[in-house]
Amino acid sequence: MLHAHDIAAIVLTLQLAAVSTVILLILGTPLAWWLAHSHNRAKPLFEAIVALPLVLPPTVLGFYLLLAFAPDSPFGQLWLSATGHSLAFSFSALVIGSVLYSLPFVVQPLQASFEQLPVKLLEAASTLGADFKDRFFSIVLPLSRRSFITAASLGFAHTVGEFGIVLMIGGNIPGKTQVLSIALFDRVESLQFQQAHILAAGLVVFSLLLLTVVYRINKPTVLTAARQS
Amino acid sequence: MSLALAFSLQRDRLQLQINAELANSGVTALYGDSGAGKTSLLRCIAGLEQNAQGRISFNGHTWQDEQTFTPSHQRHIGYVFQDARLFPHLSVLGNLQYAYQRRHNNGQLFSLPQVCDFLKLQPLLSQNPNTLSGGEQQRVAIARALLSQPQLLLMDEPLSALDQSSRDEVLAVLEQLPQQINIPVIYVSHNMDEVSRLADQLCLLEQGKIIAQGPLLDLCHRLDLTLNQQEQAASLLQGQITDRDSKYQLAEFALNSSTESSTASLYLHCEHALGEQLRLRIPARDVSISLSHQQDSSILNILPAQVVELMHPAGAAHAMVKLLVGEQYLLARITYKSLAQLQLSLGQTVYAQIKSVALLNKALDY
Repeated sequence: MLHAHDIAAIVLTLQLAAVSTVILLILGTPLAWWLAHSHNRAKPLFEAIVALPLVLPPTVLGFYLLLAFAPDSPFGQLWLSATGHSLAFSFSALVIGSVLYSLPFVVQPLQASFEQLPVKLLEAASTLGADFKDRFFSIVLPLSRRSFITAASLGFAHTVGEFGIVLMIGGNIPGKTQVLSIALFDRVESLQFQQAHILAAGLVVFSLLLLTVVYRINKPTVLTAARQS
Repeated sequence: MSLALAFSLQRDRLQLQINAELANSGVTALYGDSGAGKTSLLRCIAGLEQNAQGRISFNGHTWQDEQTFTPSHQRHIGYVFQDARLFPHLSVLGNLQYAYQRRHNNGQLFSLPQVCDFLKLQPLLSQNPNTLSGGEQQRVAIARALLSQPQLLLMDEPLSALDQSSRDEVLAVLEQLPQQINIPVIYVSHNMDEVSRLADQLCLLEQGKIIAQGPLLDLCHRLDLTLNQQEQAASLLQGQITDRDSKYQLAEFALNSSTESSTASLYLHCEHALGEQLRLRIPARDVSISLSHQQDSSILNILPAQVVELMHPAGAAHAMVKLLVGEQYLLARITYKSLAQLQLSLGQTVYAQIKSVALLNKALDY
């Protein structure tokens, strides 16, 4: 039923989403913490930069990334000398693009959660002998667990669903950079509507399930219950 | 060896300027009106105020000076906040274990069963903190602070957020605390009743500055302090139960004195054992003065006393009279008119009529 190319595209998409989500959580958590707690005057600028992918056409970001990834650009050269591979039209390029593009979907829920986290509890933990790292893992993480799941789910789902950036920087190489949304586009272009239906409906069902899980998780949390009492 | 403080902190409406050395044993009360800077001072000691400028050292360890700042988690303190601040994602037992696992030293002062026993937490251990009453939450918070095995216990008005019955419940626990622990306690309060029940030392804070400091028994009779010019001023007397009268259900309470001849006794109803050292609190407004020993009065406690100090703020309707009873001081709050009519003068012998006394479960132990 599914063509080998389509299966390769699905596998590649899931790989891309998984790798991007992990990187997003690692980078997004400290960034969200900083945005939640900084009194820096430049903070609104950084918040705006993080939110930019929400409003810009993906092709704009894709266009600049394409320029940056070119082998003769400074960034492309740096990457080439560091890894020995060219960045253009590679899986790594897709990961970088996805991370930038999905950043707000991970940072914003985390930032909101960190802003609501009672400083009082962190102070109490501090007087009980917990250092910053300890406080993060013993208080912050469990109290923002739902936000982390939401952030990871949205980051993952959004990466699975992206199209414009991948089209600009991926080059649509089957098995290497051809992701699901682009495989679907190809099917439609070549009028293979049945194949297109399978991919499109699959994506709808998958996204619907994931979002349902997210909304189910985001019922009142321990934290909001504590604040109401 | 003590807690040495020399620092300042600039807040929006408060300039905290502290220069003091606090005792490293017993309970020191930090007393002052709201906004006087009590909580800020306590937070500076705990290392929760990063903007404090100056020096703080405890038992020879520098916690803070120009170069260093020891963060809270390395100060080996216990902090009981006004609100209990229990961790909502952990059970009561989880909260206690959180503290115990991170305890400040292994030379254990309190074990988990000991603390649970003392604070009667056994039935609560499996519960979620949000299901507890205010008093229960505060008891868990005290237990949690003790289990971290602190070298210094800081308490910020732990009773102020509680209703009356919870207040009594937690106060009863706090009164027993000195027998359970042998670490210095700094207790912030704006309630003099609490302070006289719990404290050995008193530190008066006014507009960000410490205006007087010393043993509670000394400070609570100083008429120059506004604290003792107010309507709720009270004296503290210490002594012991020396006799019991089973017919009238009264006990004889003899005031401590160095010689037989200068002793004085009061009668009151209590269940305490003979010989137990106790503290009495006598509101100044419940003490009246007469020039002769009235025999035809229902007032039971009438003691000979000597006028040692008079204080009448200009324009006030009331005056404060400081009396010497045996070897201890008693304050009487009388109207200015009475003061004028009786023509009281220093050194004069009068009779103090005491209408009410409160026995506190606390002996002065210095």
